[in-house]
Order: sequence, then structure tokens, then C-alpha cells
Amino acid sequence: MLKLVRCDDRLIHGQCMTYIINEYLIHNIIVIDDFTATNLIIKSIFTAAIPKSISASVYTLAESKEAIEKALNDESSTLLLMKKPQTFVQLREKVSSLPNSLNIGPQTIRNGCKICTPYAALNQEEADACKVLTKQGVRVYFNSIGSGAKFVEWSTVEKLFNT
Amino acid sequence: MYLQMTDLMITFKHETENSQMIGVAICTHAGFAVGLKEACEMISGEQKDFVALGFTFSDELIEYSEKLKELTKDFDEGCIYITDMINASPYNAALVCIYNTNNWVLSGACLPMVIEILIARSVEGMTMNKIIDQVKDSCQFYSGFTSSNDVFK
Repeated sequence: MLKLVRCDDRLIHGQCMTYIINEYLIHNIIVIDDFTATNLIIKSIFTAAIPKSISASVYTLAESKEAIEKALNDESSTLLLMKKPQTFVQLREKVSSLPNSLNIGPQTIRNGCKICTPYAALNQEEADACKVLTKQGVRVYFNSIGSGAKFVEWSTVEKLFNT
Repeated sequence: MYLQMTDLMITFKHETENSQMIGVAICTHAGFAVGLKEACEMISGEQKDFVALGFTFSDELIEYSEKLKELTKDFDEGCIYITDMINASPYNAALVCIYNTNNWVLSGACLPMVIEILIARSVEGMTMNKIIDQVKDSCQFYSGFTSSNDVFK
């Protein structure tokens, strides 16, 4: 089953491996990212260096459908990770019965971004994707480490962006 | 058995001029890296081929690893990257840096570890692998656990 769908532009990292994995009892991580999936060095860093008790696999968006559908239907608790909310919009067009919930974790503070929470800044395109998801009935919320931190709903930061 | 004084002498590299040393780069979350470097230099004095770079909310993983590579590019004898947490972003970035090299990434950065490495690398004839073996052995002794019941009897 998919325990959590999360956008995090650093993918598998400290917060994820300490808090998220333990809180959601994750055994399986699926990363959807075209750059990571096609760059052998980066891919092996994210898959080979993690503890043996957790399995991790990386797919391009185009090749991800089968793995996600398998995860939706099996018992293993899975974390679905991607960098950007746009990817979830695209995934929902490909895979049905995805959870109606998207957690936004760390998003690098870049030029041209609006800071939504101390750890996450979104640009206009990312914000547009959040709006699309909200219209589709998806709960979009910011949260860094699970129940130990605040849950900030998309509706409270939406006003930072152009409509 | 009688040991001659010369048998006990270790030559340190900083006593010989222009000697090359294995570089040390501390890369951690936030200000820990720079703080740890300062703490080391408080004890060991100023060190050459020793750099620190903190990872912040405005750093992107690949960009950060490029910055790290740039900082360590002149370390001709190799570099040991010391990171705080395994699988965390600074660790992942350091892994990018060691691709296709004989360099090492360590996690669990702490003051005695870094100082041990700084001392070990300055010993004449020391190799990267010897340093790593030595640090692996001593890692378990770095932490002390003491209760008031043990001390104030």
C-alpha cells in the first residue's frame, strides 16, 4: 500500500531516513524522477547506500506505472517520492486510485520562489500544480518530518501566488 | 628489551617542508561543519588542506556536490569527506564527489574523529586506508556514558 506520497527535491535524505521511515513504518521506497533514474551515479547513491531493511527503486515517470500499481496492491508499506508536485499531476493521469493526498517536504529555496514554510519554497509552476491537485480533490499540505512538525495546508499559503 | 629513542620517534609531515597531505572536508547540515572545523582548530591549530561546507535550505544536492568538488580539487593526495548522518543530503553529495576516486566518505562526524584523522594524516608514510582502519577501530571509544551514580559515590 502507498503510505505516503511526498514531494522532496532532495529525495532520500536525513529527514526521510530518520523520521518519515520510522513514523510511517516504510519498507519500500519508490522514487519517480527522470534525472535520477537516468543518471547511474546518482541512482546508485540513492539505491545502494540505504539500509538493507529498506528497498528502494528509481523509475522515470514513463516507466513508473507498473511499479506503482504493484505497490498499491501489495502489503508492503511504500513511500512514493518525487521532486515536484507537477510529477504527481502527471502520475494521476497515468495511474488510477492514487491516494488523494500529497505531502510537500523540503523544496530548495531558489531565486523566483515564494517561501511557504522554512524548508519549502515553490515557484509559480509548482504552485499551479498544487492548485490543479486541489481542484481535483487532493489534499496538499506541507510537512517536514511527520507528526513531530506542523502540518501546513496548501490553502493557507495559496495567497502568496498569482491566480 | 632496550629500545633506542629513535625507535619511538614518529616523523610528522608538517615538520618537513612542502609535504603533501591527504585532504579533509567536513560537510554537514547547516553551521555544524564550520563550527566543527573551528573546534578542531581550537585544539589542533590552523590546518592545511582542511575545509568545511554546510548544507542549507537553499542548496540543491548536485550544486552542493559541485561546490564540494571545487573546494577539494587541489587535494592531490586524496580527500576524506566527513559527514554527519548516513544517507542524508551532505552524505549523498559527498558520494557524488568520490565517484571514480579512491577517496572515502565517513558519517558520524564528531570532534575526536576529526582530530584523530588530522593527526593520523600528518604521520609520515600514512595511507588513506590505514587512516580509515584506525578511525573505524576507535569510533566506539569516542562517546562516554557517565551517570552521577558512577561519579559521586
